[in-house]
Amino acid sequence: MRSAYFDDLVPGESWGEYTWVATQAFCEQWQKITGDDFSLYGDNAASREAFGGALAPPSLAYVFLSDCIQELMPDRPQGGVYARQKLTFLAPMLKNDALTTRMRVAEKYIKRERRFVRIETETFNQHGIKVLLGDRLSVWGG
Amino acid sequence: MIRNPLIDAGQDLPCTVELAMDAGLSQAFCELIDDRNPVHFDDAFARAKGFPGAIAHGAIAASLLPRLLTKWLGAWPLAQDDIDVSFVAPLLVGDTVTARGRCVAVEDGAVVCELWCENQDGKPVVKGQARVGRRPAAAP
Repeated sequence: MRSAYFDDLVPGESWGEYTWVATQAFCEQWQKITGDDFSLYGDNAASREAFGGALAPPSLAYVFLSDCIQELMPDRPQGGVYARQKLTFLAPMLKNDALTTRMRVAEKYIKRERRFVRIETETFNQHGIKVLLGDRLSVWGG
Repeated sequence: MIRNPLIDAGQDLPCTVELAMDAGLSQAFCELIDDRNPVHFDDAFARAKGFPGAIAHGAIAASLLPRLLTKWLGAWPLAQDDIDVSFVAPLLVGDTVTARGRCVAVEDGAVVCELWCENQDGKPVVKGQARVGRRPAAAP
């Protein structure tokens, strides 16, 4: 298995891609937890007319990008901390979209004796449309 | 001052979002993503790791900021809108968290907002900044 320890990470290197489906059931449970009942997240005339279907809550990006790192770096050292996440939205994400995220290590550095790793992601829907850019900074576990 | 159809620099966002982060919600999220890290539900384990008690998953706290923007704007995000969040303190299970925001600048018609989530003691747990692109002016 490829090592995801700090010393072994190479800035610029790709870590592959991961596909996650924004299923109706997952979205609804996420909305229930976060209390998010925005009308366009429902399958109704307004969402169908504007977007062709129910939108997936954009906050789901925090969930599936974490899942992506977990899946692509299963050997990541424990004890890391999620420090910062930038999201740039390019196109709507709909419920039941299959979202494929490509991930690369953009940068690593040590500051005040803590290891930092910056990971960049690009997410595409099943039509090949780029929907999201992500830039995440983590304090690395080891 | 440059004016924008939405808001002017220095103004608070006209709404807030609140969430009571109880143990049931925290557990439901851990089950949803199959996260069995005891730091999210076991107070004793979390204290041994240096936290005052079990901590909620960061994604839940962060989610309040997009929800705040959606509540304010309706259609958010539009293409090229962005949001940048930093986790500055743990959100404890049992806390009530409130998301708030303020417009700090209007640049070329885009609104730059400072956003944050604070707990019931007014302590920030998440800070962020969002850039909201130009929106059509509301009908008179």
